[in-house]
Amino acid sequence: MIAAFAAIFALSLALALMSRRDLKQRAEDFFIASGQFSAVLFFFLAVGETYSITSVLGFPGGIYANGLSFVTWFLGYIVLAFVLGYFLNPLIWRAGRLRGAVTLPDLLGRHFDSRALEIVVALAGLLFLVPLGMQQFLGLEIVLKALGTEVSPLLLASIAGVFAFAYIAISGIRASAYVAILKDILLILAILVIAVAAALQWSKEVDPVLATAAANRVMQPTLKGDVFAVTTILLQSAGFSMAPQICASIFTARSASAVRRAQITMPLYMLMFPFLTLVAYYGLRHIAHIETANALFPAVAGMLLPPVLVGGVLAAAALSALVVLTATCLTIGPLVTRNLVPGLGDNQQRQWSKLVMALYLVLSIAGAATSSQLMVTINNLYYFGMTQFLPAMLGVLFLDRMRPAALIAGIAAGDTVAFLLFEFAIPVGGINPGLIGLAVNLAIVFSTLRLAPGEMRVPIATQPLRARQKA
Amino acid sequence: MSPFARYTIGIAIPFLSVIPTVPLLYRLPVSVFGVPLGLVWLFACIPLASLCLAICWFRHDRYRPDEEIESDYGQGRPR
Repeated sequence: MIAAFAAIFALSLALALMSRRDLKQRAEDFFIASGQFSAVLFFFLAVGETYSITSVLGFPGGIYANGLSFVTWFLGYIVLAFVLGYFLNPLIWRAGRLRGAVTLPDLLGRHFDSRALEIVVALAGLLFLVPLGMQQFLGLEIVLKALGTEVSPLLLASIAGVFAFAYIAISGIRASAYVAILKDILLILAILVIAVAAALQWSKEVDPVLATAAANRVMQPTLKGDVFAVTTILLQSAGFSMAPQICASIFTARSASAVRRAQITMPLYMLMFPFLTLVAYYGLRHIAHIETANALFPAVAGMLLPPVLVGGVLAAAALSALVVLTATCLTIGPLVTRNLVPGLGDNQQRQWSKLVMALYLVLSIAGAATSSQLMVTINNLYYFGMTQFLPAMLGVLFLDRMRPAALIAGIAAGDTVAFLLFEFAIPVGGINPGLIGLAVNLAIVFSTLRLAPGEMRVPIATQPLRARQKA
Repeated sequence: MSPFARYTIGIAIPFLSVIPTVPLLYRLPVSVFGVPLGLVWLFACIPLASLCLAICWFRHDRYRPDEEIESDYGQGRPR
């Protein structure tokens, strides 16, 4: 099992080294591959970033713990995010190119010519990205524990952190994309193999009590539950492309049509979820007790597969964490070295970013080890925070007289309202607090646009298409 | 393909297939091989979304001219 796991990690390092051949010594190449990724590479990077270890472990674990109640909004928002992405992401790509943006704060700061907006978006992005790393290490801990080694979890997590840093140091986002190809293919294969094995063993040695309990775990629809599902789908599908790491991945694409072609196939990658549902229900029918619900996926793999395949499955799950970690690192690095500390040269940006990334990995490992309540709270607020960038992005793409000050006020108000509603559990009839925050944000931005419009800026969507253009 | 048809097929149909259809289907006491109809339909929405986007691409977007924009990434401060 460990040999198969180690072999796949060695292969991932070899792929990262292969990705060096196209590397150029410029900061934008390190962070966004100078926007040269084909539709295929962009597809693998984008789905690699979308499905982290929390999807692989959390989806079956969530069904195991809560039944089907969260499946509607979880699958609904991802599929609709890809749909909206088909129309929005090519425009975001174009905006990034025309404004010479490597990061989301670059784009907003340059379009609105506002240093304050750039700093606010960079700080908010940093705050809400921090828990993502911790989440990945929490998942890694479960996967590495399933390997059955005697090594301490902290040491194993540190080794995983070293691998993530090695990918970045080798060739930045290119390594992340190449490793994502391996991870995405392995993950689909792993889920298919486990699901087929589960289907073949479905009725063998089944506990009748557990089987009855599993059959009863269907969702009992309630109005409040439906309101939450619908408002969460609306909020998160609209906010999906506003996250700084998603924007950065869009900027890696070679052209708008490369983005569109990749978006068409992205929903198909979600066909893994019916198979993950099957795995979850197999676990419900056969496993009476488990230490934590998120350990269900490795537990079912261990029950059904020979050790060498379990090693492959665990490696696929671990790589899914590392791909997200590297992409998040490569987003956080330039947020600090380009947006918070501007004016650094190419070389300085890359060197200082590596330091920031190493620090981020160490903090994430420490956060996962302590699992502080603050981190858990921030994690719940991830989409509340990311979605508040939506009005600013709409301003870049479609509207011409937005004021940067109104956008800053909107982001601050939206974040505050969502946080207060969530933290104090103020009853709002099941409506996602983030959506109420976004409504406040939009009200501030659009009332300012109506009552006191700012200076004229040509929105990206209305600028004429040109076959070749120098920005 | 007209813009109306493009947005209807690319956005309206995928959205309406999920909201409000899925929550409504969950309320029906119907299941397919023991799986609630709402869940079966939600899984079907996945290839449906790709199909809708593929129609937009093959009937409209593939004929749009592609841009090649050279960027000045600068040093990371607003210009």
